[in-house]
Parts: sequence; C-alpha cells; structure tokens
Amino acid sequence: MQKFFKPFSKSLFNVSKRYISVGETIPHVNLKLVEWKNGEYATTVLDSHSAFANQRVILIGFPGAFTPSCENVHLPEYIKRAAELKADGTDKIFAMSVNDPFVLGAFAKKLAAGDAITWIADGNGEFTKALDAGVDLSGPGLGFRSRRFTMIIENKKVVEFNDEKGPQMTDLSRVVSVLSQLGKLKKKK
Amino acid sequence: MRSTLRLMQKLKVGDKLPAANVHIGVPPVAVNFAEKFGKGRVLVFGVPGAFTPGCTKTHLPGYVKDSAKIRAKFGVNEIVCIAVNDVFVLEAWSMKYDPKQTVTMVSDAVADFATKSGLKVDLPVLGGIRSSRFALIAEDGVVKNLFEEPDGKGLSCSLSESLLAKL
Repeated sequence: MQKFFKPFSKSLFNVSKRYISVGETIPHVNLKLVEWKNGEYATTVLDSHSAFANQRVILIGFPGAFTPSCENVHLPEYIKRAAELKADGTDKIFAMSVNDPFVLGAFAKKLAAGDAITWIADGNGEFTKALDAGVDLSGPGLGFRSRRFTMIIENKKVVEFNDEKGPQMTDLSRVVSVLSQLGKLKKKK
Repeated sequence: MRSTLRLMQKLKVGDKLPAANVHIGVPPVAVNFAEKFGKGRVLVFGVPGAFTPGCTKTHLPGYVKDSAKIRAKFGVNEIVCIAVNDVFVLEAWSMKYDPKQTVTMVSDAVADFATKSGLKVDLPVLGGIRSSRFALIAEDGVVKNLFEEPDGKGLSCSLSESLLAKL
C-alpha cells in the first residue's frame, strides 16, 4: 500500500532532500569497476543497469579509501564474511567511494580483499550524486564524498537502504544488519 | 578585471607561491600553502595521482632517491609533493613508497592550489581536475624555476634527474 502512494507523495510535497527510496530503480550511470582478475586488480567500464541486472547484490557506500573506519572496521568485516553474505542468493558485493580506480586497487590490495568485493571507483562522484548519497566533507579536506550506507538491490530495484546520513559508522551500516536483512528476505521467499 | 586575468594565468617564474588552502598530515591540519612554504628554499613537485603508475614508479621514487643530492645542489630545506588526493590516501602512499618520509606530502583535495596556480590537468579516468606534473623551486615564496610537463602528465622535465642535470 505504502509503495503505491510513495511516487504521488513525492510530487505533492516536493521534498528538497531526496534520498533514493526502497522500490526505486537505481540510476543508469556508467561505472568504473575495479575487479580482481588473474592475480591483480583491473578496471572496466560498465553501466549500472548491466552491472546490477538479474542479480541480488549488496552495495556498500563509504567515504574514503584509507580513512580509519573504512580501513580498520567497515570494509574488513564485509570481506571477512563475504562467503556468508553470498551464501543464500546474493550474487555480488559492490563497494563504492569517490576515489579513482588506482587508489581503490591499492586499498583493496592492502585489505587483501581478493575477489570478495567489486569496487566502484566513482572518481567524479556521478553515481553518488545520482543516488543522492553524497555528503560534503570539505572540512576535513575530503571534498564531496559518498555517505556511509548499505543497500540490498534486486534486479536493479532497491530492496533495503540503510543510510547513515553522513560518514559515521553505526550498527545500521555494519555487516550484521545486512546479514539480518538478507535472512528476512530468504524467509519471505 | 585584472585580478580575474591573473587568476586565469598560469604560475610562472617570478610569481609568488599561491595562497592556497591545503591539508597536511593525519589527522589533517589546514594550512595556507604560501605561508607554510614561503620561507627559505623549497622544491615542490606536483603529481596527477597517488598510486597511479607514472607517479608511483618514476616521479616519487626519483625524488626519494635523489633527496640528498637535491638538497645539497639546490640548497632546499624541504621537498614537497602536492596532489589532488586526500591526506589519508597520501599517507598510505607515502608509507608504502617513502617510508623514511623524505618528502612532505601536501593534500590539495579540492584542487585549490591546482586552480590558483593553473598547474592543472583534466583527467577523466581519475575523476576530473588533478595537479599537472611539474617541479618548481621557490625562494622566500617566489618561484625561481618551474618545469611543467608539456602534456601535464608525461615523465620528462619535472623528474629529479632532469632538474639535477639541467640546473
């Protein structure tokens, strides 16, 4: 019922801060993907609709490669539990940040991520802006970045969106929350 | 009108170092570039991107290796590397490729120095405006020598070995 009324309420109330909603299709943007292939990280360009079609994926948004929370806690726990996350119908784990492909490749190497994660190098922030998932971190000298968030996306549609609404990390964006949500999705089927 | 024209002109020999807002160190400390490096002799080299091949395999290692020669020959008290990268990326890059920290890393994360100096290049593969590849020597805040790669990213006149040979 709620999903039916959502599109109407948006046009009626003209919300100034728009976040992508559950049920919406992710935007169609060209992505730079950094993937582990034959013992090294390589970059390819693929549009988001092709990248997310006909699969269930997790998308993690994080403020910056090599920043403390991202490096020490947030990404490592997803890498560590990647097999568990992919066990029941999740095809891929994507992680995106406003960083270039070389920085993300070096970051992935440092985390020994292997092929656990497909990285999205959103160097010009285009995908972040299209998702309305940005935050201004000019203060600490980072500039425009992605907020910390996680999404579960099924065949390009957002099924769950856990938005920290900033760079901070709480239980909301951590792996246990996503595992719990995946568990509930499994029960629905 | 004159100040706008000045903004559009590229930094050249005889000009003052730009008063650009940059960050140094982790946690990041905001500094004014001209104030921070405006005393004595300093060598500044710009790189398009930390962890990119040319910067990582050639440009930075050259200055790390030739650091003592550079300081002796040109009388500089500091060798500075500036890039449009944040302090966390630069620290990770520095720790891996310059573990003795012979080079001071300066984060020009919002391209303020690159824009004010005009020493910039648009690199869509990296995500936009980056520092061009250059090397300059300044004395008391005034540029004495400046070498910018003709295409903004090649590996020639801005390398440490080139400066040591030419100047």
